[in-house]
Amino acid sequence: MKEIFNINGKNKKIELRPDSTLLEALRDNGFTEVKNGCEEGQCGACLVLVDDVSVNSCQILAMSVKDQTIVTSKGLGDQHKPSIIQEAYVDAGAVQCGFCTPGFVISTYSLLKKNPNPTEEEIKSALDGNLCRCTGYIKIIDAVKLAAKRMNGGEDNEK
Amino acid sequence: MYRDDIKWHEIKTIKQAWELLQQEGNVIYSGGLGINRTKSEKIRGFININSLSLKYLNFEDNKVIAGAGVSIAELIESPVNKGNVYSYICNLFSKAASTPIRNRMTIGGSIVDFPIWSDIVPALIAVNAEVTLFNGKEITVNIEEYIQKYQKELHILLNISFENNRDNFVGYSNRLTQVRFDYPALIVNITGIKQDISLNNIKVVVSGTKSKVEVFNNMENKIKDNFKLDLDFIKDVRFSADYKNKIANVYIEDGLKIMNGRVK
Amino acid sequence: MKNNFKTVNHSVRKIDGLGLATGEELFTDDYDIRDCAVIKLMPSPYAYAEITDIDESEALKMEGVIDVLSYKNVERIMHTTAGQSYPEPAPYDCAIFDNTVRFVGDKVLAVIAEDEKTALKAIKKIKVKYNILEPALDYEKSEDRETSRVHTEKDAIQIIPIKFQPEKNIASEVNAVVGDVEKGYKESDEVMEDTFYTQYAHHCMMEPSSTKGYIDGRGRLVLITSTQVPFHTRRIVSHATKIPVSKIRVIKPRIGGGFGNKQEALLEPIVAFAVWKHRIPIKLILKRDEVFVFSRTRHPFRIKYKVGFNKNGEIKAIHLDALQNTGAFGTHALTVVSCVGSKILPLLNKIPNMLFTGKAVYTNLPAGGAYRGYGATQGYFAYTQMIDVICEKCGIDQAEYYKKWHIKTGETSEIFKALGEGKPGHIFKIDSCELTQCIDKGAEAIDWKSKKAKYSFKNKKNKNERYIKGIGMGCFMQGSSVPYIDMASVYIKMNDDGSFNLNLGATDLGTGSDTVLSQIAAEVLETSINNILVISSDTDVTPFDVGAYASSTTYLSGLAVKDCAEKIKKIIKKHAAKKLAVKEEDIDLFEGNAFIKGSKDSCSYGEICTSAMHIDEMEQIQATSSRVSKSSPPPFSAHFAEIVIDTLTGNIKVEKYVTATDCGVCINPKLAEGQVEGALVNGLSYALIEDYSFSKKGNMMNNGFGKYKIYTAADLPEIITIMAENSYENTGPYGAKSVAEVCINGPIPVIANAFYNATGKRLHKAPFKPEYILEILGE
Repeated sequence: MKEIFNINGKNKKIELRPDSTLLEALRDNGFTEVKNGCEEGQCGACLVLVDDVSVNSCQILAMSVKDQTIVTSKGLGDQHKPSIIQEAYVDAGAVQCGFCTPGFVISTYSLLKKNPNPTEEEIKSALDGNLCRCTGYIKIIDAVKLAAKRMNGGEDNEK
Repeated sequence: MYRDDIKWHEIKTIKQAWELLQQEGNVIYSGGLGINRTKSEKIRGFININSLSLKYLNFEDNKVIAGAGVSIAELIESPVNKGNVYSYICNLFSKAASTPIRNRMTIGGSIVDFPIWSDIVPALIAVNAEVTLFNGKEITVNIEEYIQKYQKELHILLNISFENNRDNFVGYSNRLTQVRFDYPALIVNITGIKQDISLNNIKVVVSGTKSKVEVFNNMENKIKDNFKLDLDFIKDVRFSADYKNKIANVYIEDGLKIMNGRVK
Repeated sequence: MKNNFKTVNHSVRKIDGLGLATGEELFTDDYDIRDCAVIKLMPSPYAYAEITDIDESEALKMEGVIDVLSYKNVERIMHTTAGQSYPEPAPYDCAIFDNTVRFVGDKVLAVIAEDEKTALKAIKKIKVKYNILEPALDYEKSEDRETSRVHTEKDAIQIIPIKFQPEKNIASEVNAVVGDVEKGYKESDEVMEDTFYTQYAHHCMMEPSSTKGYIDGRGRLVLITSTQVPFHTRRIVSHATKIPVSKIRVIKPRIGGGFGNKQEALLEPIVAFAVWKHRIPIKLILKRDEVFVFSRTRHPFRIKYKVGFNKNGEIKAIHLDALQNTGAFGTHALTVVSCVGSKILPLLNKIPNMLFTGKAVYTNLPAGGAYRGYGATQGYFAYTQMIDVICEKCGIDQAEYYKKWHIKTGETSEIFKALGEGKPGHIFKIDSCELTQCIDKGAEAIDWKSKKAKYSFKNKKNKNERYIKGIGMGCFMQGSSVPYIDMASVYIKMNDDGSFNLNLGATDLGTGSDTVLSQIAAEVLETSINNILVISSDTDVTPFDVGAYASSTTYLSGLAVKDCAEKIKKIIKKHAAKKLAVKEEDIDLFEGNAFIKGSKDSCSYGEICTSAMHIDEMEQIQATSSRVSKSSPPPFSAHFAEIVIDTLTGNIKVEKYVTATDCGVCINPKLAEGQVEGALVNGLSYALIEDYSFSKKGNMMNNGFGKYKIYTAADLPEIITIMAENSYENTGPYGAKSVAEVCINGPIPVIANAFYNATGKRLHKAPFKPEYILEILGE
C-alpha cells in the first residue's frame, strides 16, 4: 500500500505494508541513512526524530506515526549544508566506521534541544541507547561538547 | 510479521476502541514497543488509540494523573515542581531501558504489557499508584489489584495516578544489571515514612521472581537482626537464581540502612 | 625530535567523515539494486548431525521462491573461509554446503526468494531429516578418544606442510623453542605454573555481515560486500565456485566495522554461486542473531605458563602452552595460536630459554576467527599476571621491572625467527621503542606508586570493608604486518588540475585508512589532502593489497603509498625542470607548485600536468608501487587501571584507566587515539561482561544485543589516553607503526592485577562476572 508521510520536511509517498516497521518503510523507500544494526531496539543505529524526539525506528510500526513529522540524519543536514552536530562529529574524530553515526547525530540533536549545556554525565546518559564499537565513545562525547559549544555561539563557531 | 492483511483502525471514542478490542485478533496500539516484540501471528488489526487524547499530565489535590499515552520521558521531564513521591518515581523511571526507548515507551503500554524486567510496574506498586481502566465501564483500582486481576483481562487503560508528595516519605531503589542499558534481573524498591528515628509503613517490592513481583507490607514488624528473605528467582543467562536472591537481600539491607539514615 | 610535517601528524578531518555523519556514504545494503532477490539461510538446530534428507518440494512450489541450495545441488569444493594470503595456513575443512552440520546455527541450506517474507515462509516448508550425532562441546576433552571427531570427511586437507590431524580433532599445532627450558628451570630459584581461561566473544561490529551480487553488462559477477579482504575474497570465491577470477569483481563499499570478523569469505561464496547460477541480483544480509552465531567469534583459550626465575626477578625459562577452541572450522586456527607466542614472548626478550606449544582443537561450537588482538589478547591474561606474580614474590615494583627487562631499540628477540605463520619467522631489530616513556607517563597519570602501596591488601587495616580498591598495570606489544607474507600496492595518477587519483588495494573498514594513506600521499606530493582522490578496494580498479588485518595498513600500505608518491614527485620535477628550463635538482615542490630553488619562478601542478598531458610530452604522469613488509615493528602500550570491588555483590567497577601508547609517529593523532580508545573499551567490556552462554546442547542463549551486552557511553570509567612523544620508526612511512590492535590486550590482565592488589587473590577465568568474583573472594 501507499501512504503519504512527512519526512525531512517534505511530504513523500511511501510504499509499505500495514505492519512495516518505520525502519523498513524508510530504508525501502531510499532513506538508507537510517541503519539496521539489530532490529531489537538496542543499538540505536536506526534512530530518527519523530516530532523532534529520538526514537528507535525498528521498534515502531510506520503507520502509527503517519501524522507526525519524521526527520533522519540527512534531514538535519547533508554534505552541501551540514548541521553543526554533523560537523562537530567529524572535527572531534568521532566518526570511524560511521555506521552508528547517523543514530548518534539524532541522539545528540534530541539531547541538545532539551538541554543546550549538558554536563559530561548528562551526555553519557543521553547516549545510553547508542552502541559504537569503533571509538570507545570518548571522541563522541567530545563531539557532543563541541556541538553544544558551537550552537551556543562559543569559539570555533566558524565551522 | 510480514502481513498485508492487517488493518489499522482509526477510532474517535473509547467505546469504539472497546468494541473493536472485543473482536478477535485486534490489539491496542499506542507506542507499539511491546507489540513489535511479540511479533504475534494472531494479530489482525491495530486499534490506534493515539487519537483518544490520552497524552495528558494533570496535577490536582496532591495527585499526579498521567494519561496512558504519556511517554516515560514526558513524565520525567515535566517542568512542574515535583513532590518527593513524584521525584522518587522519576528517578526510578529514568533507569528504564534507554533514552530513545523512554521517548516512545508509554505508561499505559508499560503497565498493560508488564514484562518481567519492567521498571515501571514495581515503581508504581512501591508508591501505591492507582490505575483507571475501561472494560465496558470506567473503574479505578489499586495497581496491585490491577496486576492480579484486570491486567489479564480485556481492557483499555486510561490513566495512572499517584501521590505527588507524602509527608516524611523516604524511598530507596536498586536494580541488578550488567550495564547501564540492560533489563534488570531484579529490582528492589523500598518506601516508608520516616519520623524522628523510626521508619514505618515500610513497603518492599521485589521484581524478577517467578511470580514477577513480590510485595511485602509493614515490614517494620518483621525486620529483625539477620533478617533474610528467601525469594524464588528465575535464572537467566547473566545471573543465577541463587545470586539474585543474595543480591536482593543485600539491596534490602542497603536500602533500610540508607532510609534509616545510618548511611548517607 | 620535532618534525615539520604539513599533513602527516595532523588530525585532518576523515575524508569520508561528513558523508558518514549525514548518511550519504553507502554501505553494502544501502546500494539500490532493483529487484534484488534475497537469500535466507536455514540454521542447524543441532550441534552435530548428518543431513540424511532434504525435501524442498513444497517450498519450490511457492510463488516467489527461486531456488533452494544445499549439498544436493551445489558442487562440493573444499576451501577455507580465512581471508589470508595463498597458500592459506588454515585447513580446507568446509564446503559451501555440506551434508554435515557442525554447530547450532550452521547453514543447512539456503532459500533464494524474491523477498525476505517469502524466503522465511519457504524455509518453514522445507523438511530436513537428520542423523543426530553426539557433539564435542568441551574443548579440553576434544582430543579424548571418547569424544566425537568433528571432521571425519575424507576430503578435508591442509595445503601447506603444517600439522593437521582431524582424526584427533586437532585443526593445527605449532611449537617453537629457544634455548632449553628444562635447563633454565634447573638454574632457577623458583619454578611455578598456572592455568587461565578466556571466553568466546563477538566483534559486535555495528554493520551486520552483508553481501550483494549481480551480473554486469558484460556477463561478469560483481560482488559488493562488507569485507576486510577483497582480493582474498575474489580468490577464495573463485576457488569455491569455479567461477574464473577474470569473471569476478569485488567492490568494498563503506564498511561498518570489522575488527577481524570480516577477514573471512563467509557469505560471498554463497551469494556468488547463487548469482552465477540464476543471473539475477541477490543479497544476503545476516540478522544480528545470525551474526553472533554464524559469523566468526573470538577463540576461547586455555593458557598455561610454567616459569623459572631467580630471587632478583630474572626469568631463566618460560613455557607458554596455548590450547585453542577453534570451534567447528579451523579458520585462523594456526595463526591465532601462533600469535599467543609471537606477540607476547618478545616483550621481555632477555629470557634465554623459551618454549611455546600451541594447539587448536575442533568442537561443535561456533567457529573462531580473526579478532583484534588475535591470540595475544588471550595469552596476555596469563603472561601479564605471571609478571605480576614474579614482581610480588621478588618485591620488585612492576613498572620498574618492565622498564628493566622490556625489549629496547636496537635489540631483537629469538622468537621473531622461531615463530612465524605456519613456517619460521624473520629476524628483525626493534627500530623504535618508547615503552619506558609510556610506563613513566602512565604511572604518573594514575599516581601508580603511592596508590599501589595504599590499596595493597597487605596494608589494609580494616579487613571487613565492603568496598575495596586496587590498582594494576601491565605492558603490551603487537606487530605491524606479517613479514614477507603481507603485500600492499598502489597506483597514483595526476590530473589536469594538479589533483591526484590514489588507487589503493588497502581496505578501509572504518578505521580511516583512506584518510591516513591520503595524508601520506599529500605529504610526499607537497599538496593539500583535498587534492588526493582516493579509491580503495575494488579488484577491477585498484592493485592488490592483502587487506585490513595484522595491523598492517598504515605501516605497509603506507610504505607503498609513500614509495609510489615519491616516484610521482620525481616525474613532476622532471616535467617542471623542462618547463622552467632548469635541472631537476634545482626544482623545489611547495604547496602544489614547482619552484626554481631560491627564486620565485614557478609553475603550478595544474600547469605541469596539463602540459604533460596535452601539449608537450603527451604522457600521463603516473606510477605504481608494490611493497612487501620486511619487518613487523611492534607498537607498545603501558596500561594502568584503578578498580573498586564490592565484596558483597562481587561487582568490579573500573574507576580509571590510563593507556600510554607508542605507535611511532601518529599520522593522524585523533584517529590514532580513536584506535586506542576503541580497542580499550572493547577490551573492558570483554573483561567484565562479554561471554557466550550455551545450552547443554551447544545452543547460544544470548545471541542478541538485549542479552549480549556491550558497553555504551554510560558505562565508561574515566579514561586517559597518552600517546608517546618522539617515537620514530625508521622502517615505516614517516615514522609510523601500527596502533589498531595492541590496546585490546590490556583490560583483562590489568584488572586481574588490580584485583590481586586489592585482595591478594588471582583471577583465572574471564570474564570477571560478579558471581565468579564472589566465588574467588569466598575461597
